[in-house]
Amino acid sequence: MEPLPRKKKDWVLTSESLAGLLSLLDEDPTRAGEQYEEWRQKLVKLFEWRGSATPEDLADTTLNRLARKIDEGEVIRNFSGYVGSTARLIWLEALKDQERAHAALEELRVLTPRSSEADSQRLGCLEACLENLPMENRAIILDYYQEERGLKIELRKQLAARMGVPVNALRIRAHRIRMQLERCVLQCLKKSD
Amino acid sequence: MENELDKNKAARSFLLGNPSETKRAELEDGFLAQDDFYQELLSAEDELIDAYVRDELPAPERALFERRRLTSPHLRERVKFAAALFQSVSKKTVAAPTLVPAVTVSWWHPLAAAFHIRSPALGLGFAAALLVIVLGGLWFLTDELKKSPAPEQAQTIQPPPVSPRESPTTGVTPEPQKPTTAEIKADPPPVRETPEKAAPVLATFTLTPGLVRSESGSGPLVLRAVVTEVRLRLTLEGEPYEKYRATISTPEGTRVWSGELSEGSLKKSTLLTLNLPARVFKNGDYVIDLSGANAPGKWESVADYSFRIVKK
Repeated sequence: MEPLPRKKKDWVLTSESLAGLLSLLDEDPTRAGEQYEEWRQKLVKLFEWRGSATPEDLADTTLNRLARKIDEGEVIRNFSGYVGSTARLIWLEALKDQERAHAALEELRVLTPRSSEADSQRLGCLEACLENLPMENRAIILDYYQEERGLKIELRKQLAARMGVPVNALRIRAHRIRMQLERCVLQCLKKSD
Repeated sequence: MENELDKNKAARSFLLGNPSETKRAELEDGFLAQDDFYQELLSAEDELIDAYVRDELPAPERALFERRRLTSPHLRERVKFAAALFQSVSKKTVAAPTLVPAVTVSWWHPLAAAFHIRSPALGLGFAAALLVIVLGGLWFLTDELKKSPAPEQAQTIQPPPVSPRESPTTGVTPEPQKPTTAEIKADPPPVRETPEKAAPVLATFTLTPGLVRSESGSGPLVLRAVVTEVRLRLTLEGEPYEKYRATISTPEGTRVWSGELSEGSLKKSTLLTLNLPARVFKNGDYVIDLSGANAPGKWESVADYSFRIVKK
């Protein structure tokens, strides 16, 4: 008697199926791992920008779905296009969950008072993280975020000129330093909890 | 430039969840395939969050942002981070004068830009004419003041509420007060507790020496009731000094604040920034006397900045 075909919902990610996905990203396993993480980050943002309350979960579901498709023998020619289509499908499937999450968050928002203690803690963490940044990066952040409204654009142009880089490159650099800071603050908050 | 604006607009619309599903899918495929575009969106997201935190978003965009914030724990976390970042940067600005070196913008540029003048020659001519008018106005005011009875010498000196560094020559004996934001510079423990306080609401103004900001000049500095901190940006001209000292007084001579600005390298700076609590000011006129020194104790007068505060 032949075994019953495995149902899609019973499919689980195995090391072989993950290896199949990674080999599609890069021949070198280390670089493939890095690429995997980059794709995951992009997917997290895709779902976040769609308004998901659980973007990491959906990103992982998408990558698992891709691994499953490859495992099933699907030939993927346009990888980024395929990732996008799969992600949108996952999003549609998750919309109902999203509605439920929205309701839960609404409730949470009502129940949780604004915590000035937490704000103070966050500020303390940020100060410590800023101190730990390399001096150059710290100076960039302080200069980049110091101004408001009208003068902001002009000052950022001046900062970029001083650094000898285009304004867009400065924006990206500031974003990266900011991400580094945000991660540091999150870790610090977790530690102090 | 227009393309750049369109791109920014499209990015912001995308991030706020505005575009149609087709357009959204198109943009998603775009950033999945192109790292540059992805990076641009990440930067645009930072700017959107910053604009929200600084209350610079128009009402419809703010409403859309609020909706997104409600559903996204990540975004809420990032908003909190941005608020803390601005609060922290604002403190750093108090602790050390902000430096904006490198590209030196000619003093007539802001004026020319305000009147859409592109030619330097025209701009200089226009600025010179404006200068004559302003100087004439100042001469007239000075003449009028001379005619009026001499103002009483100030008997009381208010302690500086927020001072980057107390001037040793002011003779000010400040009353005991809570540590100001400028003084919060403790050792860096893993988590540094800071006093509980709401995020400051900043009002920023740029002052140019010789130009009076008042109802008759280029407009008074209007402080709304919600403003907690005033950021004064002093435009510098000529060769920079090693150190600066600023004293804010009323026309009657009452000193309301004094501080020395000597942290960091001021060599290339074209702007000095003073952050002061809004409560320092009442409705009325003020003058900032800026002195500079390249050697200890050798202070020279650099510039005067006059302005009127109107609280609303």
